[in-house]
Amino acid sequence: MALIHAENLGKVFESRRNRETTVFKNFNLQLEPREFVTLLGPSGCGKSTLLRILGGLEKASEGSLERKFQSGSFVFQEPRLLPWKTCLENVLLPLEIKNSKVSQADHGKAKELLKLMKLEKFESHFPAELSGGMKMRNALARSLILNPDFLLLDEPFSALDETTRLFLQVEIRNLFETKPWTFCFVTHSIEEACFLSSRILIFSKDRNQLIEHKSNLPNKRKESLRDELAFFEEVKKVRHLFQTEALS
Amino acid sequence: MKKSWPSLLAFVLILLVWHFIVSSGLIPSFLLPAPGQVFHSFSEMPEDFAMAFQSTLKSTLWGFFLSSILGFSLALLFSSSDFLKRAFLPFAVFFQTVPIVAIAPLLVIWFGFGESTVRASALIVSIFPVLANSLVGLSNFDAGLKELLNSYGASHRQILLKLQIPSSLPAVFSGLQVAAGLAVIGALVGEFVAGGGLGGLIDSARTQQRVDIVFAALFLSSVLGLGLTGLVRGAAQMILRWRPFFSKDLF
Repeated sequence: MALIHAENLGKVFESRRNRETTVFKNFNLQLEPREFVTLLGPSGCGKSTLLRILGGLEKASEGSLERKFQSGSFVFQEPRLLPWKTCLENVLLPLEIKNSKVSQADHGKAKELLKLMKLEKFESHFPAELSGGMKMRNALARSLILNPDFLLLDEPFSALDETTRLFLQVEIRNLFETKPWTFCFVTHSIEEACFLSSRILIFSKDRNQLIEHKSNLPNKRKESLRDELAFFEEVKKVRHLFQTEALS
Repeated sequence: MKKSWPSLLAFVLILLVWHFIVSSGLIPSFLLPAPGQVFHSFSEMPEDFAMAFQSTLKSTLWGFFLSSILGFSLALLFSSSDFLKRAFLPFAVFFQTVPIVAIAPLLVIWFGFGESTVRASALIVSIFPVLANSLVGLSNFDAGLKELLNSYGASHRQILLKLQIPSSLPAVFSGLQVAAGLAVIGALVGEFVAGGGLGGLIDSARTQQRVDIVFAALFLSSVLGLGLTGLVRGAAQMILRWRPFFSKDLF
């Protein structure tokens, strides 16, 4: 059973002077449980808008959308941590909102997630005391506290330096391989999309179609995959598809 | 101490220049008494000064405390309802634009001579900065953080408590700092028309041509204003030590 099923999905923005701007139209897509799907396209093509519609933060202007996931969780382009809350308290925030009270068990769970993100030594630090990569890992830990079955990530690594970005890509991929979650990831980086995804959906140049590419890479992926010929070939294929379908 | 030594140095310099101007006869002492003469008036009538100071302090604190509570509560109310904001904010602006010296006689008619008028005057003058700053603070929050809370299904109340109020604290404290100074002014103006306190002392000293007493009372009122502003700054710094709600450069 598909986690997300969308037919003829479209989004139109109305400007102040009643001018309409079509972001995309006639999009058909289906997301299956436990797959890692990446929405790939140039900047400003509507990737984030589509992700927000899939996650329920925005409404589509046209088409139908069925969402069957139990609990979805967003990771945004910026970490969006509350500056006055500690690393641990930021992780507990979604539970505070859902349940009003936070139990001792919740604290234990939050600490485990911080450990998973290698932030266990920083649980009492405030966001201003963390590096960019640490903040993003903090945001990732927060997104996992509610046991989501669907994770929506909107270019979460775009503002990070390359070393941190590559490290976090491996962490995200590890999560995907070890946990029963579905990932929908937005990026404009072809390499990032290839390394992470089981399926890539490329925005066509006239924004009325999502062009699908299924990954030929193995399911178990390590850092060393980036140096393998198979990865280069995959990137080449997707780049060709991107250049012919999305740009020209 | 490091931060305040330039102002202490300036204060000593002003006293020296002031003393020189009066002792050299440039300005007669019945218009501008020498600093020594001003400080002498304290020892001349210490009890009167102490009582007046205490009375103004009480009225100022009362007005400031009430304006802080009322100003912030009204800001909360206005930020949650656009209708209420549009309906009642103009009245708050009215109190801000009409000078307190024009309202003060009206307060005497309503509340009579005494503390009630002084407190009302302190309240009216100091409420607007708290209300206006809190209102700005409550509506100036990070839209991205609101979206995050919305994505977890936060209610209006949760957004208010977890985002809007904490985000508003820098603006609220700026408003409180301004209100602290204004509450002293409000209390003094109230005392001019209703009697009592440092304002009353200034008024009676004026009729007796005791400029030294006027200056001494003015000095005490500025001590009161500085003390209250310092108290607000201290509270802001205490909160900041607890949690980084705002940049430490702000206070």
